[in-house]
Amino acid sequence: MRISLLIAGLLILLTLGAMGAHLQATNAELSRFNPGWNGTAVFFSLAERNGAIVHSPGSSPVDHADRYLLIAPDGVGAEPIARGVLAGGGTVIIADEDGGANELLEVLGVEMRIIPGNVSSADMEFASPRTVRAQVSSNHSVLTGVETLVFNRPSFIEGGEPLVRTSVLSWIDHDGDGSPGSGETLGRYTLIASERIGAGDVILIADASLFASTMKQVRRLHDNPRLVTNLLDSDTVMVDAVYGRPADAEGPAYIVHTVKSAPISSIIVIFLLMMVVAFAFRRQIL
Amino acid sequence: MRRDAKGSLPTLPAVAVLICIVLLLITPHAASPVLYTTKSDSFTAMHDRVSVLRQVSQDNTGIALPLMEEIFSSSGTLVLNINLRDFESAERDLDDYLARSRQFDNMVVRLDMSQSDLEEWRRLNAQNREDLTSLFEDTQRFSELKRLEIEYRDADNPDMLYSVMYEGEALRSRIKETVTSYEGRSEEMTGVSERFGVETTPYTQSVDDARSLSVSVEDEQEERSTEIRRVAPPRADRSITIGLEPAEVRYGDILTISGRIIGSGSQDVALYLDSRLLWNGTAASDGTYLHRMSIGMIRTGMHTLYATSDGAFSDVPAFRVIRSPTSLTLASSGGGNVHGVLLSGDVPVRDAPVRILSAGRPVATLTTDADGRFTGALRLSEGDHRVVAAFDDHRYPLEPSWSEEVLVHVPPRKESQGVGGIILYPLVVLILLASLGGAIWYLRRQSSPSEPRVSVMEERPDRTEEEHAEDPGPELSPPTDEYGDPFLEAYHAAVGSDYPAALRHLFISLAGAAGLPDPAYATVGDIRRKQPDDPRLHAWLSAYERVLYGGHTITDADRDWFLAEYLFLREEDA
Repeated sequence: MRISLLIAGLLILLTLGAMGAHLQATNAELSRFNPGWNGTAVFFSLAERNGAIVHSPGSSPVDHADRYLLIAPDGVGAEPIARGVLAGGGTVIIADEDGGANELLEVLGVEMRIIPGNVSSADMEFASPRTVRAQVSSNHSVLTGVETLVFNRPSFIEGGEPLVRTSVLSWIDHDGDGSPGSGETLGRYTLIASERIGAGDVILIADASLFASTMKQVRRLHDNPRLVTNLLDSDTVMVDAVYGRPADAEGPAYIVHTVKSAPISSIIVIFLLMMVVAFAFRRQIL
Repeated sequence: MRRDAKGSLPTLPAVAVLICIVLLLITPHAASPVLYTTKSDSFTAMHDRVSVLRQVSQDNTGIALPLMEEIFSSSGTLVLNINLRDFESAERDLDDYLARSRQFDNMVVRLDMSQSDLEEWRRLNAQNREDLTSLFEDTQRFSELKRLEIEYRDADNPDMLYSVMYEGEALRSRIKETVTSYEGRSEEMTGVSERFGVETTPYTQSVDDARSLSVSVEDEQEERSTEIRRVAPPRADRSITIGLEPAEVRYGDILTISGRIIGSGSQDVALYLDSRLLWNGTAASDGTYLHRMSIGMIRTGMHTLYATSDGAFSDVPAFRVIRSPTSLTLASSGGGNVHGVLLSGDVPVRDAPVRILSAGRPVATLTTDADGRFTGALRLSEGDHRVVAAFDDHRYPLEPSWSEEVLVHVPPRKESQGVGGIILYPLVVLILLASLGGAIWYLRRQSSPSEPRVSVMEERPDRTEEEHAEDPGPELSPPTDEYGDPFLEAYHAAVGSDYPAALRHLFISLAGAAGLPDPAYATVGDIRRKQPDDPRLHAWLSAYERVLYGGHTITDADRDWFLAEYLFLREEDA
């Protein structure tokens, strides 16, 4: 009887585990809880493997980070951390394409701005002019060993020192027809730029999709893997998962992660589990 | 057993019908059974799902910009060699230049950049191409005149000497016009090129070389004219005039050329357009002549005309052909064919080549008819293709034009289309319907003859133990006497409602009487084989078959006969 109970318990646990995994997953764009192609679960997994610290809700940011990476930030919540990193001579890397980072850039005193726009190019990596190939145009330590990068529906940057630019056969596809038309001038557009702020450095990337899982699912994507490795290659790298899209979750996943991120939630869960085990022993189920 | 047997009969056809309906519903989707693919979920507002897109790795800038520089380089060496009168090398340069220009044109179309700065560069280069082609041909011809001049002077042929002089004059005028045109767009061309970061030094050098070429041709022609007039003064007793109307023409216009012969002699007149014979005619009795020329395939720019008649030469008036815009439409005619119209304003462009391009690759060259219409088949593989039509023949005074992109569907080959499109689908439907009909027929066939058997089974073998206990029913063994015949009782019970079933009871009784081991499953043939020498029994069995299987209508007399004969046969057995 006990064996059958154990098997039943095991099955229940497996079912609960599958349900838990399902409830924790989301399809929110760039969410780190999104294991799909448009999430950043793969990137965050890679970051943790490379020793980066993921700053998630409920955890305190590290004080001595020399590199702080924000993906599609929204609002100015990250300002104190970013200021601290810049004051310590570190680098703040911001990847954004819908202009949500402009507010943060402004309060940090950065001149660079993300200009939302549909940058397209005749130099395309895939069968879509929005998969833009761009070349490194200036030296920077995060671009060591990087020559060509592939972007995925990027916007462009005004201001700062251009580090990576599109080819001259590129345009802002206002009408979305995939070809340069009236008012869509061919020219070079800046996709990665940097700006010195005090002792630190801000690097702005006009495409948060560089960190999307779909970009990791292509075997050969020029120097994109090298760029990601370079970005994570520093003494103390902190990747933000609080103030931007990586923290997003929808539906049940939102509730699950809200509860999980609450400091007391772990204690409650452990307590409940202990209660269940104690009950099982008391009723001689186990 | 009884419930199963009864239940299965209506269920099977129902299932068969359902299966057939399902098959019919899914048959149209059989060719493309995929309901979901990763490609159907391939992009959001922020990203493309690159892992499902075709990786093309196109570095078009790496092709286009060097190509532009190569075009400039070719034009530089071309003008240099023309200037040096090395026409063999110049011809090679021109071929190279034209090939690269064509490659660039196709690239602009392939990249769908017909509204971009790249198109502006292409347009300017197309004009340069016309000028350089013209410059090469005219300068080469101008150089040949030197040889002809010496030849005619040696032959003491003043008419031909004047012809050489006039042709030289015409060529000088055209070369000057061409160089002016080439030089005139250099600033614009340089500006556009610099926006792309293209090196323009070879191009600006070619403009300088073209300018010096024009100056040298001017000097040479001046010298030639002076010399010819010195060695062969014009006839004083005879002259010919020439006039043109209008001075500027466009494609489709009529240029009127008229003049008059003054003096005695032949009335024959020859008109030369750009030093090439245009028309041979005869003047009227008063010496006037008239020719109307339709402007068709003739280059843009200045052209010269002169008339000659029996040693008299006219002046060399010039007229200008102005370039006109064109419009080009393209439409799919189905089956991999296209049609379209090429117009210059409202004027159809006739006998003009229209190239059809798919992804920048020419797949057909069609020729317009008198109405400017063209039609034809494309050399394309099966499937969908986006094609454009292009008209860019610089021999016409017409601007290049491109049609809108058109989707052309090339159907599968005729054989497979015949099977797949016409026969296959109806065939599948027919097969399914036939299967359905066959299934129903089979089930009905199975159920019809077995109904009596089932009626017997209902009463005898399938009964439960309790039912047997309560109602023993008729035995399958032959009855011992007429009054205890359970089959007869069953017959009478059923005769009012289902006569064939009732008759079946009698048949089973006779089968049992014939000594067959399993009367309920016996056939008419079994009884006949068992009792081969009983004609009355055979007659009863034949009548029985007609009723049961032939569907014969039964009258009361027939019923009486069946029963009487049955009783007789049973009595006989007893």
